[in-house]
Amino acid sequence: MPAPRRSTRATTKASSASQSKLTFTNKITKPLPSRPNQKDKQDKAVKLEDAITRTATPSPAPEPEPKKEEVRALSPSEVKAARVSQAAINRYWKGIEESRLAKEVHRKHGMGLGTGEKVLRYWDVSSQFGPCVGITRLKRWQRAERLGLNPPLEVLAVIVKEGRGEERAHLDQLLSSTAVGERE
Amino acid sequence: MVKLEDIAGLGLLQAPPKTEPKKTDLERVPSSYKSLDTFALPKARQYQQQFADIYFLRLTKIKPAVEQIAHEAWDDTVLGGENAKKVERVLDVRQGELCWVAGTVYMDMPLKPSILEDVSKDRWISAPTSVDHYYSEDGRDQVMLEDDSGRIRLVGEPLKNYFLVTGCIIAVMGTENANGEFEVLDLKFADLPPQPPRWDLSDKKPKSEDVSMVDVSAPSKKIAIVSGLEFSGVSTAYSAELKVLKEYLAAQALDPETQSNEQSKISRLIIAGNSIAEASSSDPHSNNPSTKTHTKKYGYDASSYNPLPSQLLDSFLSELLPSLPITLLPGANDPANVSYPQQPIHSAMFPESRYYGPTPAHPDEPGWLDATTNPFESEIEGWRVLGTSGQNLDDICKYMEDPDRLGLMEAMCRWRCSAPTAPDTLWSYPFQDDEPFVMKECPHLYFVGSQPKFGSKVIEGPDGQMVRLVLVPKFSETKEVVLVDTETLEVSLVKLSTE
Repeated sequence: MPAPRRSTRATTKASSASQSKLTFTNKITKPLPSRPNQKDKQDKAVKLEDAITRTATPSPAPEPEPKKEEVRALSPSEVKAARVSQAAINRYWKGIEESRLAKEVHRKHGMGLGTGEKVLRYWDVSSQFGPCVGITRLKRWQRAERLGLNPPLEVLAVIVKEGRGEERAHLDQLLSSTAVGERE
Repeated sequence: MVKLEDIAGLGLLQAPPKTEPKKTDLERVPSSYKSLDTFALPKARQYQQQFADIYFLRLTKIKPAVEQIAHEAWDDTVLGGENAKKVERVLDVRQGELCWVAGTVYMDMPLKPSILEDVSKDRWISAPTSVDHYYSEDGRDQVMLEDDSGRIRLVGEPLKNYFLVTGCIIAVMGTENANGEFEVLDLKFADLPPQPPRWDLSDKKPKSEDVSMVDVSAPSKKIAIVSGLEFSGVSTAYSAELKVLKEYLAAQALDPETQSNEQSKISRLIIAGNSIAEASSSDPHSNNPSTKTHTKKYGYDASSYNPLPSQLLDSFLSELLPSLPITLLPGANDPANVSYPQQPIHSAMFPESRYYGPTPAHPDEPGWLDATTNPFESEIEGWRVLGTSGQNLDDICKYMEDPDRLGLMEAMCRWRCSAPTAPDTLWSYPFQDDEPFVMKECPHLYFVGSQPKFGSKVIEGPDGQMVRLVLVPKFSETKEVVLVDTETLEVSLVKLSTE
């Protein structure tokens, strides 16, 4: 590459003083993808509490989400599920663990998972509510309720509280990880 | 000069009739019709779901009914000093223990087309081969009972007394034998679902203020059902009969007396599938293989498309539509989607008749020409009518030797499923939220089109339900039209022949 030449005209004091320094701290003009997880989770939790305390009957009013998330009305079960406390979910999970006859053999695999995740994975393999592959966990819960199978409310509580409405079963993600083509 | 009276007796000429017939304009009786969209699929539909959801939905919806019947039948059976107990899951049966369980039937037949076999042999079949029948003569077929926990093989003498196909929900009582198979002692189905009363969906018509009070003595209305018209651009074997059919339905055939008594009493025509003949593939390849490559443009051989059949169908419909409302079901050979449930034939296929279809201002109201789904459910004259174009029954008939078609139609009603073999051997849409093939309410009239022969039967249910079953024959072969009386649901057959 030839050595860069300095233009003799540009080194005057006037030209160097008129140019301001570029800063990147003020604004970002490029459109960034919105981050729905963190901000809206808190928004949702706050709005849920509001919705519950304001009216006794389950309110079907749609939440005004600031971002591009679809406006969805909360069903009565979802409102009820939001009231379920974390302690109730822990008790539910303990009940399932104690009903098992054999001791837990592969404890180390479950170390990194929270109770919520364990509850959801147990929900996936509960085949009496239907196959878990090819459907989101929330839709599967709603379908089971519609068919009168009485799915446990604690599962819906975990889904609603942690905002995992669009997640599919863990098994589904494993099975379709090698699939070619676009998944929903 | 010869006088008319001299030759009148010879039958060559006929003098004008002595009494002038009454010049009344014939009026067709009105038809009360409400079409249900039970089988309509959403326009933007996903195909990423698994088919296992269909079986789960079917089992969950029918299992309570089957278990109730099984409870009533077997709760107090004592066999060999043992009480029959209910087990929750199929795999919970224990050897030597008398118990009963409900689940879905799966027929394991080696002749059934199996995608797993094709994949394992590394052979992709581009066009699916349709086999004539799936049953194998040497007894390699197995009957299994399945639910979400697993499968168990069923054996036993009582199995032979019942029709069984993949997808029907049954409850079986018996015990597990030494081979790990379940020996069946007794079998139960869900039987007919509850039947709605007549005029359930429309406002009840009180007899006192209706105009029909005037002609209560006149013969009641009839519904004409025809199937397999098979308009073809190639074959003209039955085109004369098609003309006669058109005249008959337009109340222009025969003499004015039968016209006013019979033909104008036909209030609606239902065309149950296969209105267009199967496209014959022999012509483009017969003469010159070289010219075939010339005309092939963008991978589509334009010369092999024949627009004549749909034009013929369109003109047939447009001549009848001014006076007769028509319901059109797509069939296996019609231009609609292949998988069950077939969606309505698009109105673009009928440039003349589509003006009788639904108006853009009221897209939900069916027009005079109602292109519907296959299968099709509606309320006609108050009766709940369920009809298909034949694919479901034809597929079930492949499962057995020498099928008794009316018996299989009855079995479908008692299984509460109009297409049990979907999605196993009958291509179907992967339903995930709700499966419409389960009969939630018992129809009053159930017809299946494109059958080789006419047949009809009335079956009864445990709660007094009565269903009229009708097999509608193919018009192109038998030249027959079925007429159903709307008051008594009796069936009569009209045979058209030109000789």
